[in-house]
Amino acid sequence: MVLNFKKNIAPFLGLILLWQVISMSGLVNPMFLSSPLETAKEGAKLFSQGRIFIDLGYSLFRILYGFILAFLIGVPLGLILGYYGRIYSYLESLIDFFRSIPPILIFPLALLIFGIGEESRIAVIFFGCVLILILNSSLGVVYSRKVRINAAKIMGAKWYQIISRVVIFDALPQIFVGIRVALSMGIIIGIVTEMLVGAKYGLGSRVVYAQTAYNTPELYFTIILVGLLGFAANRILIVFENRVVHWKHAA
Amino acid sequence: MSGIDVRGVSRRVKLPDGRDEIIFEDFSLTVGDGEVVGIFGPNGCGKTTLLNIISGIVKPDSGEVSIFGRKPSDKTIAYIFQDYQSSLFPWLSVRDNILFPLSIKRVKKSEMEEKLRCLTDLIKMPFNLDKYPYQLCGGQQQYVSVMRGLISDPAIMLADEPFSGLDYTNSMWLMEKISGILRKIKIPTIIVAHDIEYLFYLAGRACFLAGKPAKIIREKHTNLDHSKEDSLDYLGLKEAELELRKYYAEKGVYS
Repeated sequence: MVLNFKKNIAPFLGLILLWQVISMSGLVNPMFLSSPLETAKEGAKLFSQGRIFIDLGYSLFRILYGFILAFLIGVPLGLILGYYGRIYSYLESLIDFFRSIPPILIFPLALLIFGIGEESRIAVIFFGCVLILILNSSLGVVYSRKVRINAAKIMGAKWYQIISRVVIFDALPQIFVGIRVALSMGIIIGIVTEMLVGAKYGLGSRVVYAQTAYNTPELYFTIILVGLLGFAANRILIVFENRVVHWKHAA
Repeated sequence: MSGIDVRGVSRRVKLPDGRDEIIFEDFSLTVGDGEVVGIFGPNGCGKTTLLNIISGIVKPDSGEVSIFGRKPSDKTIAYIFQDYQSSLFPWLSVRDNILFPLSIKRVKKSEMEEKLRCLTDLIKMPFNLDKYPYQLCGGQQQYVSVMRGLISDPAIMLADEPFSGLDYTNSMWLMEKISGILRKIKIPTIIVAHDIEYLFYLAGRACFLAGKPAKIIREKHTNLDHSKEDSLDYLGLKEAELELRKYYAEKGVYS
């Protein structure tokens, strides 16, 4: 079950109730805290005008583009690095170094190289995601059971069969950890780059516009929407993971 | 021609503290065609290393291993690992686990099914092949790895403590099964065990391994008559084990 009422929905309802009580009590200036009702109204307006779909579409496009590119390159690279443990040991501190750089910090550099268009944003999302994916995929291989590789070798498996038929599967649980962390990271980076410069559309730029226009309900609504986006992405991945890695809880 | 021929094999390993340890020096062992040899010895005496050398996973520093006169890599080997959970592929169903050795050789699907049918005609599978390994109990999982070893008509079988991860009921069940299989499929087999009972039950000859470098310090032919219910006692099993434990204690190799 994806959502359980008591555990997943009730806390949200409780929070909304508390929020309504606080905003009705008049303790907080409505400029800082719009009521849930106002926020919902503003949301409905944004949806009916269709504006929010454009923003959502732009944000999702950038995030998924960068993430999928990172996935296609990071996972195979990580698997190979992990399989050839010696190469991994040489590159480990290098990967760790690049991982220690907050990805958003290279945004100015990306702007310099790729200009103000989509490429620079996608490049930063890619950079943030790819290292996480490389690291987790290679760790998945490093932690995998050597016995299985030996078993496959004795059966006469070639090196590429060992990677494609054994190593990938053994590393899958850890690859999924990488996917979840990388996608969260991708969402954060994507939104932040939209807040910085030059994005006309995107949830990040919507938040900035709302703030400059003193439109507090829109501000709150967009923040909640971004939160829900991350939350949903994680939930969907967990369900998908439980389907694919069906042996995880048993083995 | 003997089935498994280990001739003058030496193997040393580097210990974590940097010292060299000689595991085998000029070690020889011959297993005849259809013979089942059990190997018993204290932990760390090199039993698993011996199987790894025979299977070709580990290369000896010197000496030679041949299987029916050929290199190990030229022959199909059924290898049963001690840890069945780590050696089976949990992402594949029992059927696909058993067929794995054939599928990597790109055997046709119809041919694979035919082989599986022949094997299951010969050896009964007491569970559903569409289940996943983790849905079976330990003894059944280890049985699956035996079947996986047998599907590709192996020249020899090597089993590394196949019972040690199992509880008593499961080991007894599996031992009965393996004993039945060995009577039907007569291939040279080496079974390593730390429990001497299993060896006497399954093997025609038991070798006792000890020392650094490891040597076969004693050999015992069992000629077990499986029809006798009291055959284990008949062999004077307990007596032999006590005698050996005493021997190991004196040599300081068995705790």
